[in-house]
Amino acid sequence: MRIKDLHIRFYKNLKDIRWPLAEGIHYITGPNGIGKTNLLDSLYFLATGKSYFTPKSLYDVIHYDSDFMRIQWQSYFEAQWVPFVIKLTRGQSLSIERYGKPFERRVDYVGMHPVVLIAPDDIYNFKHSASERRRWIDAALSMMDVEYLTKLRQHNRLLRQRNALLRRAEHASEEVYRLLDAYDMQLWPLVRYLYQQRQRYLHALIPHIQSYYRRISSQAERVEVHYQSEVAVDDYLLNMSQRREEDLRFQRTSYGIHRDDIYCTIDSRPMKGHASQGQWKSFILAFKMAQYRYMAHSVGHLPLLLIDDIFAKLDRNRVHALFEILLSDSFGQVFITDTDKERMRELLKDFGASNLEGYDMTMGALTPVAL
Amino acid sequence: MRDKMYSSELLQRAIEALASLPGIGQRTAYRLALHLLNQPPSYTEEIASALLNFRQKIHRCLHCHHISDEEVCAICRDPQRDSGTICVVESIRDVFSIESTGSYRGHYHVLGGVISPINDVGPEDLYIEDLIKRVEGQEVREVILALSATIEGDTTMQYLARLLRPHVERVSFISRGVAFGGELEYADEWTIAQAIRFRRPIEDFALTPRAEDEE
Repeated sequence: MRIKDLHIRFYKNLKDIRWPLAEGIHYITGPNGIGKTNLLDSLYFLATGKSYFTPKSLYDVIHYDSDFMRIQWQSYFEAQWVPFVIKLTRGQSLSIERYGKPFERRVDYVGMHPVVLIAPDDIYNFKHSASERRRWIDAALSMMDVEYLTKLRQHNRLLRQRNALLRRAEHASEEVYRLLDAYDMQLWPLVRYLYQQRQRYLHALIPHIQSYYRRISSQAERVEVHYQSEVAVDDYLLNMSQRREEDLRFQRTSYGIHRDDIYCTIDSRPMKGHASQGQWKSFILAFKMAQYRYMAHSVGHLPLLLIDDIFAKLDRNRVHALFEILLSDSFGQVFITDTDKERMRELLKDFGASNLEGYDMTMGALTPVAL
Repeated sequence: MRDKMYSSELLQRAIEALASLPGIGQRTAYRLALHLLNQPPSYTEEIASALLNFRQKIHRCLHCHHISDEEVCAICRDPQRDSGTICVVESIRDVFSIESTGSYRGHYHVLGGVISPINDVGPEDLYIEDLIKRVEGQEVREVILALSATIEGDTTMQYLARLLRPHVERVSFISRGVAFGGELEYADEWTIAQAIRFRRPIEDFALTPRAEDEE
């Protein structure tokens, strides 16, 4: 999969950007606040219909001076270029069109443009938030598998209904129990499916994570990830019914895969408390690269890779290791942002590969950098 | 600003009233009001009295809660129809959808919604007690649950199935010709007719394997 002829109108602070796009790696530098992150975010939005950085408030992606935003581009599918447009007007729902014809359901669009984004806050977020860790798995699986996305949405809707019932019920009654039965029965097959998919996915990531970790850190430590869940799938209904009184008391569902987590170890010890800052950085990078590799294999074409301003957080050795990976393994279009123009010049000189292009971003324009 | 535009408070109020209807904006309301003005007053009186009569005299059927001109609706009164079969639907619009297929000859029961705690709708807010009383009080062989194929529709069907089973020989739900996430109202007639024809017993409920099925 490849995209070209990108035209962005009023996406966050990007008023009007036209960018033909090349194959390979795009290295973008420019001062803070010019919109480099928003540029990557617009590519993430193009792929998922959601912002990576402000996923909860849809209209925040529209420029404050405008009533609408639009992203237009062409994608290469099945040996031809296909025009796409994404439009969002304040107060209206998102519209995604192919050949000028809107997609009727979001699930028909999701997954056409697989994407992996790496951002500086990822390290902190992954370390400190279990819901963030679950989001990394759910977002990736949803992109690769419409069935997962559909079932995850059904599961979340059922859970919200169940929790609303728990808040609404003043006391336990036959009626409340009968309704809880109805919710739990519907949740069960979904929980079983989502649990198995998450576990299988995380397990499949391990060899990729280990291989990338070694290459990025050049250390011999062994990292591992485990899917952690208190759910026993076969006894799900039993456990749910045993916790009902507690659930009614605390007015929320205390048992289920919405509380699952990823448990990471380094040399068989928990990373939390044992891994250094540097080890965490290598690990997070390796995790995202592993997600990329798995996704590429699973969907059968190369996803977009978006790397936002992380070089400032890495030492020279890790930056070089990452670059070697990007240039030696097969990647599709890659977009890297950086504030340090000198570092870009140095890297372009050191690696000078043919599919590596530098760009200078100023307000409203991207100019190719000649060496 | 609007006062200046119309320079008549009577016209203004007529426009506001019309514009409060769904699907009618200020401009359409303005056009409709001027149209009424151009016709003789009797024209407006006929419309007004038809609406008033409709709104004041229309009943909810005592048995099935479908709309009716009398205490008991035309469907419940029809001796040609099979009172041993009750089709449970969300709203009167679903009755119209199923009736327009001509493929069903039984009675109905309009619930008035589906269970959705998020929207503060519980079983007590729907005509569920009435339904149970109906199946207890009269000879009912079969109840067909014809609710939307959504999380809320499924939840309501499961809940009802549990309540109905002790009283009714056969509790079925309509076949899934209707796409998941689809409201019954928006499905085409053929789809609805197929779904009614190929209804299955509730034991087969596709989304919801029960514990004993697994062993």
